[in-house]
Order: sequence, then structure tokens, then C-alpha cells
Amino acid sequence: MATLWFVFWKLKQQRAYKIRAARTWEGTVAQAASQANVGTMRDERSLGARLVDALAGDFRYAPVLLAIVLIFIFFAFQNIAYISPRNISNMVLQTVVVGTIALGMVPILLIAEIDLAVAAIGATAATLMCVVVVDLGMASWLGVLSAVAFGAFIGVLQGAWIARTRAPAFLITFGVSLALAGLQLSMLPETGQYNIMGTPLTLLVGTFLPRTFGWLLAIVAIAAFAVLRWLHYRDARKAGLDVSLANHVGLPVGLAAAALCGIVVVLSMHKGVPLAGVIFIGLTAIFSYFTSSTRYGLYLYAVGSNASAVARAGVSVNRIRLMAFALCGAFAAFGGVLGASRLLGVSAQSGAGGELLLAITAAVVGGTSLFGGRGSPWSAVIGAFAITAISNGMDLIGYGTEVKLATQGALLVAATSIDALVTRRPA
Amino acid sequence: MADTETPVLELRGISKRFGGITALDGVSFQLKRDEIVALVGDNGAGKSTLIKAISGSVPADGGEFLFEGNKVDINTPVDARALGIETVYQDLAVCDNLNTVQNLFLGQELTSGLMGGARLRKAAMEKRAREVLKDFQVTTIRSLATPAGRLSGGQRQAIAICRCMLRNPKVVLLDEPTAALGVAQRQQVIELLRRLRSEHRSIIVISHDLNDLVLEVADRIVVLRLGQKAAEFNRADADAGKVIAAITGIARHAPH
Repeated sequence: MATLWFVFWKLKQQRAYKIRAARTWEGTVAQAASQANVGTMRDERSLGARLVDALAGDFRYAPVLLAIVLIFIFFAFQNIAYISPRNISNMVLQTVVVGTIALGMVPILLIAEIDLAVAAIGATAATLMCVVVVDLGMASWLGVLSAVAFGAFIGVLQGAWIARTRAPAFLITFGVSLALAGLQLSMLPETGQYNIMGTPLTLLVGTFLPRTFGWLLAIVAIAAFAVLRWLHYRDARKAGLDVSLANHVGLPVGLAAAALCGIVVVLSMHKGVPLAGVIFIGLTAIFSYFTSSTRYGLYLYAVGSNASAVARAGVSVNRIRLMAFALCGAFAAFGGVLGASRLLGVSAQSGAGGELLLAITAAVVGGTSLFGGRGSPWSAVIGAFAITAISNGMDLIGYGTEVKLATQGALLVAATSIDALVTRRPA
Repeated sequence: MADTETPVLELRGISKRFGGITALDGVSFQLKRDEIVALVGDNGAGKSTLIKAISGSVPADGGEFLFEGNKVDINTPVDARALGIETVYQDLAVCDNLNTVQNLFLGQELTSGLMGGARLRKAAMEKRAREVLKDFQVTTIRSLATPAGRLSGGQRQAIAICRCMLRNPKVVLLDEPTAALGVAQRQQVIELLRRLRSEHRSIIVISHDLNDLVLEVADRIVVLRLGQKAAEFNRADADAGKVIAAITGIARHAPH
């Protein structure tokens, strides 16, 4: 639960660069309502319209967070083992693989494109890693590096092709995914699989940090977050804007600290904080800094909304597209690496287990729009955690694959429909 | 300022083809210092294409530009911007999901440099945005954090105009600035044109608004028809009848 609150507050802070930050939740509602209808004094629209507005803005993450709470309550009542530290630790590891691929989906969705090759990129990159480490006997880190470089390279190729031809990305990337599946098959040995048991590659997902080290990391993370918030605060003060230390730094840092400590406490009750979880959250944090605080991150949002305006502002839109696809490829490849590490190898089945649709579902469930220009890297974390919580619970209770597949499909349909409803609201 | 004779911008034989269609065919005219030139013509006459050629967003494929007497190449929006030419596009080129500050600084963000983490200097940009908005009496945008998609047409246009002014341009191009506006806002735009001229900026404005805008504030009127310059009037010589005749092509003989 603590994870959720942490993520939730990060999201809120990231989005809310407001001079008069809402002091209370009520304040936020009032502000959202007043902004929704600038120019007139009273908001005369229907309650439904205002609700949709709120869901598109300040409260975008409320439904999925509520859903996660409900999922937890539901499955905990079915089987109390669901909320055991052991199972929560397991859930974190399950989240990491899908979440990393979903993280790559975010920049693509932000620029209003799609990449259907992510699962194939992940599987092929993981296979390449096995070739490098198992067949060529090279160092593990070199294997991981070559996998990620391969993913970024495929991403650049796809991005360049799509940017140049303006052909529909969904078909181009689908074609690429088939080609990569072929490439992967040709790379596999005659046994049809690579086993990485006994190599250091398994440590990526198999390592749990010693308790003291876990706590140390948590403190470093909180301190880094505090410094970032404080820098914002200092800039705002310098510019003569009306901000208060408590609202701008104290509250978010305090909540983040409480949430993070909660997570570390729970995970420490099992084996400790998993290394893969730290890497995943670290990547998300860096990527989130990129999207929210740097120029090229901002351009991802701008391109997704009005690419021609961005071009006329003197920014190379094709370069932004290239960047988005390269990022996606790199994240997808790393997701594949984590998947291989978790499953102790790769086979012809790698990447064919629904990772693609799960990654898209995760990003959309987390609140990143398929229509471009709206979302955040943290949506990959929340969304991946939400769908993992469901599939984990179903496994625990013993539902069969047929129920899981149907549920995943329904979830994708529902999330996409809600996204369309919220995005294409009347002006 | 010493040399008032050399035109700020001179177009010589500007042409543009789209496939087999000739959108612009050898258009030439001069934009002098502190002058407002109105570009008029029927739909499809090439007005917007000409503006896009000058602003570099759809580069011309024939002819040449002289800026302050020197031959220059304008192939990208960056080229035009470097010369001090700014454009207010008809569609305003505003991103609906970005807020006022982000839209104002789109493509020219203030950042802290790589050593400082390449951070956007949000507070500094917001401060500057407030100054510019205040300077242009844009008082209706309540929260600068509101996405542009939730602002009114007039507010969005204010953003587009203020964005140009951030760079202190020498030449401002406006494509149909009054098309989507009400009567009061239209008057504000006309006042704005006068103000920009008094600040020693030169202006090319496309408008269909003959009586209120073109014949009211323009110093000269260039008429385009079928991609060619059909006529050019000084305001003193122009009246609605003559201009309309030139637009529709019924004029027997055009001055110049």
C-alpha cells in the first residue's frame, strides 16, 4: 500500500507546478473546476462533464489507485496469503518485467505512436545476451549492455523509418516484430533454449539487498527527492512566486518518505528489497525527471499534441520521434533481460506470452493516453502493479489460463475505452 | 535606424510549387521599416503559402529574400527566427496539453545547462511570461498552469502573439489574426498592429477584413491572385472597390 502512496504523491508533485498549489484536496477540486471554465464565473456544466474533466486532470490516478486498493481487499479476503510479505515481494518482481517494457511504451504513447515490437525486441535482445554470455563466454555486464544497445538500435531503425515514411507505426512495428521473432529463432541453439542458470545473469532478479543497505538506499532516495523539491522551491522564490516551504517541499517529501519506509518495512520482512525493484524505480525516477524537467521531455508531450506546431517552433520533430523509439527499444530490451533473468533463460516462447499487450495495458491503465500528449513514466509503475496484482491473485486462487486471458483482454478494452472517453471529451 | 531607405525585407520572384500546382509564381514586394503591409487575395491566391515561405516552415523553391539589403536563405523556421522574423500562424500553433508558460517558450525554453542537470528553469520562464502577458494587457488567463486546450480562442491567440514578442522580432507575420475573433477582440488586434509599428517593427498581415483592418491600418496593400502579385496600393490610393476589383481580377489596370 505504501508503494501506492509514494507513487501517487510523486505523480501529484510532478504534475503540479503551480504557484498557488492547492492547500487541500478540496482546494484542488475547486481549482480544477474554476480552470475548466475560464471566463465565466460559474461552472454551469453537468456534474458528469466536470467529473470527466477531473479524471482527465488532477484526479487521473485516483481510479487506478482505488482499483488497486479494491483488488488487494478482494484477494486478501479470498486468501490471506495474498498480502503476505512473501507474496508482495513476489508481486514486485513480477511487476518489474512488464513495468520496464511499459516504461518504454510511455514515450511512444506520448508522441501518439505505438510500438508493437516491444515484446519481440525484449526476447531477441535477451537471446543476444545469452549468445554473448553463454556461447561467447563474455562477461555478464557486456551481455546486458549489448542487449540494451541492440534494443536501442532497433528502436532507432524503426523510428527513422516511421519518421521518414510516415507509414502507420502499428503495421511497421508489427512487421518488425515478426522479423525479430524469426531472427530470435535463428539465434537459438538446436535445443530451442538457452539456460543461464549458474551465470551471474540470474543475480539481476535474484538479488535482495541486505536490510541495512535497503534502508540506506531509501534514505538516499528521499534525500535526492528533497533536494529536487528544494531546488524547485528556491527557483520559484527567486522568481518572486508565491510558494510555501511546507507545501512545496515538506509535505511531498514527508509523504514520499513515509511511503518508501512502508515499502522497505514490508519487503524487509521477507528477503529484503529486491535489486530489480530498485533498478526499476531508479529508471522510472530518472525517466520521470527527463519527461517533466527537461526540454526534450517536454517535446514528447508537445509532439503528441501538435507536431506541426513543434516543427514551426524550430524543433526537429523527427529527432523527437527517433528519440522516443530509441528509448522504447532500450527499455524493451532491458525488460527482456529482466524476464530472462527471472525465468533463468530464454526460449522460443520468450516474448510470446502476452508481454506486448500487458505492457500497453499497463501504461494505459496507469493513465498514459493512447491518443498522445498525456501520461507519465509513473503510469507504467502503477499500471504494471495493478495488472500484476490481478494476475497474481488469480494464480493464488487457482483460476485457469482461460480466465486470466479473458480478464486481461477485458482490462485492455476497458482501459482503452475509458482513455478514449476522457480524451475525446467535448471542449 | 540610420538607413531608412533599405527595405527590412524584400522578396524577389518568390515561387513555390506543390507537385503540378503552382502556388506562388514570382511574387516580389518590399517591406519597409515601420510599415504594415496587408496581404489580401481570394482563397487559394497563395497568401498563406507566401507567409509560410517567409517564415521558413514551407520553404520557397524559387526566388530570393533580401533582409536589410543582404541576400539570405530561409529554409527552416530557425533561419527566419535568427533573422528576427516571427510568425503568428492562423491555427496559432498552440499545443492544447501544454500550459501557457510552456506554450510561450516552446522551442526556446530556458534551461540550466548540462552541468545543472539540463533542468527547465520553470520559475524563471513563468516570471518572464507574466511580464510579457502584463505588457500586452492579457489579464484574462487566470492560472498559467491551465492547459491551453481549456482556454478561449482570444486567450490562445494572445499566447501565440506573446510568444512572438518574447524574441523581440524586427518583422512580424500574422496570418488572419482576426478571423476567429469577436468585435472587441478584433479591435484589440488592430490596436496591437499599431503598437507594434510604433515600436519600429515591420508587419505583414493577411486579412479578409478589408474595411476594419486592411484599409484602416495598412500602409500598403499587396493583392495576390492565383499565386501572382495582382496589384499593390498605397493606402492613400486604395479604396474597397479598387482592392476588391484587384482581388477578383476585374481590375483593368493596376498601379505598379
